[in-house]
Amino acid sequence: MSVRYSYQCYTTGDHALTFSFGDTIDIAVNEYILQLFHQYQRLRHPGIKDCIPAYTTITFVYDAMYFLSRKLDPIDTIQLLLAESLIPNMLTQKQTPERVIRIPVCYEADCAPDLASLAAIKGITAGELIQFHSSITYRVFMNGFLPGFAYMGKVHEKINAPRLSSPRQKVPAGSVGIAGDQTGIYPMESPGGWQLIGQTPVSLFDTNAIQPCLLEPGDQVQFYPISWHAFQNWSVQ
Amino acid sequence: MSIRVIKKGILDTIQDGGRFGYQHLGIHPSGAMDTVAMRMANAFTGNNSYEPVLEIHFPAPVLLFEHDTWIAISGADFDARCNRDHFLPINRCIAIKAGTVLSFQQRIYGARAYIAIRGGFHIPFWLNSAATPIGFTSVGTVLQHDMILPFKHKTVEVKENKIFPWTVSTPIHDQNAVIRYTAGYEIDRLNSRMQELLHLHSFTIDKSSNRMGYRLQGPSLIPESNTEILSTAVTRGTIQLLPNGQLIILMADHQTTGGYPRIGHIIAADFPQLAQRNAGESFQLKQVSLQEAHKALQEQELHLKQLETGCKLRMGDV
Repeated sequence: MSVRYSYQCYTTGDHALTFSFGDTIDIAVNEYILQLFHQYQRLRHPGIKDCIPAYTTITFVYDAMYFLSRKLDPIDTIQLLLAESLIPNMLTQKQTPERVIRIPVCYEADCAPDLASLAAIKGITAGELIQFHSSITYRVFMNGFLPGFAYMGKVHEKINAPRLSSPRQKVPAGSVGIAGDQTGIYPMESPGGWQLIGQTPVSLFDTNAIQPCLLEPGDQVQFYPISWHAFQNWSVQ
Repeated sequence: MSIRVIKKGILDTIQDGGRFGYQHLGIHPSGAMDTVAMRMANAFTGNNSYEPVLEIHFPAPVLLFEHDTWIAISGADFDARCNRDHFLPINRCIAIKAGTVLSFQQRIYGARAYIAIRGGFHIPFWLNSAATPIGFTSVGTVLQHDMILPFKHKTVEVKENKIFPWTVSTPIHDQNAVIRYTAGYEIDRLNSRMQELLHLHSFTIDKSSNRMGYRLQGPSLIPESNTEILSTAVTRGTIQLLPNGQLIILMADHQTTGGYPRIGHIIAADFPQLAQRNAGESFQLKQVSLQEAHKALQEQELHLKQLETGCKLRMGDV
């Protein structure tokens, strides 16, 4: 990579170390994080248990005893790994070809409990909200929160929305939501505070698959509207 | 070779050291809440440290042993009985004859007990782990009525139920121990007066707490600004500050990323102590340095290694 970003390093508890490359959503920074992650996946380190890329941060979860029993300082070692092994060897070319994934969404009332109220607050019609949501190609910035949950952005400024003040106890699997500039799909039933504007019949997470997550960071995602009838009759393809 | 579940408990799952290496996909590690007790139960039965074990809560399950084996119970003391009568101690190797029923009378202390059987269970793995996360149904093992939990292989023959006479020194469960944490990156969301409240007051574990997280009742901590942060990694022990001024500590089934400010992180050496606290119980928090956190972990590991070696010597494996 020709561009280098400066970063801050901080501990996330006594068994994780985070490097932060910024604090706003930025495609170039996120792409940099992703290439760092891919470089780490090629290299790996026996004392590191997990590497978690996010919007602007990359976090290494480590086995503290691995380092301490070898009289190594985990912080120094991982800082050195990043500065001397990961950053200088990052590839300038994207490793994975960009995937475009099209996802059907039913935006009708039974699937979209917050759509009408959000449209009203935004001073637009439901149809315009659907149009704004389904006309943009989104980038998957990161996976997190739940298995297979993809944080996508940015949504059109006309439809960005705060989280609900009180999260729902149960959000159905496949629910499509908006939170701030982000959109995402709940892969499984869970509590959740995003405003729900639709639901997809496709499965986002499959424990039997070799690649359990449908969406991964770097993917491009397009939503397209389907009818309630099509949603109800969607079969696994 | 198996155990039959006569009656399930409130939440009985198979757990191990956790499913690591997949957090970048949002797949959390899960695993035993009290990994020290898990390792102790394994040590007392002669297993490897991270062999999958049964994690139980109270009300606890009633289990019928359909074949001979050796077992050990560690962690919480739920007053274990064999054939509903004979008292069984924790942290001992116990020979169990086929036909024996294991049940639990009452909660004496702690929140989670671990049962290991010699040689381990024959159970499904997913992504290199048998850990059972709550919230998704297709992974791991949750005990159900009449379920059969098979053993991996036949290991021992037992003439009569027997508590082996030997034991080794075990860590002492201290219900009043302070829970230590290191400062989080967003600690400055609380001004110095609010930070003092963290140490001056005790916190009570709310009844909505579970394997995902402990919600705390305590002084209301008014943040300097209540803006969320850009979603980033959280980990086991992360203390999140909610917009309403309350705290959540993330536990074994924690989400992998979050958007609430992280004011601190419980140190790894104190996870087991925290995991053994029940809803309604209170504790004090104490801030320590990263060096102190690592020193505490090393001491705990040394103690565990001595215990594991001691058990092996007793069993004649060394």
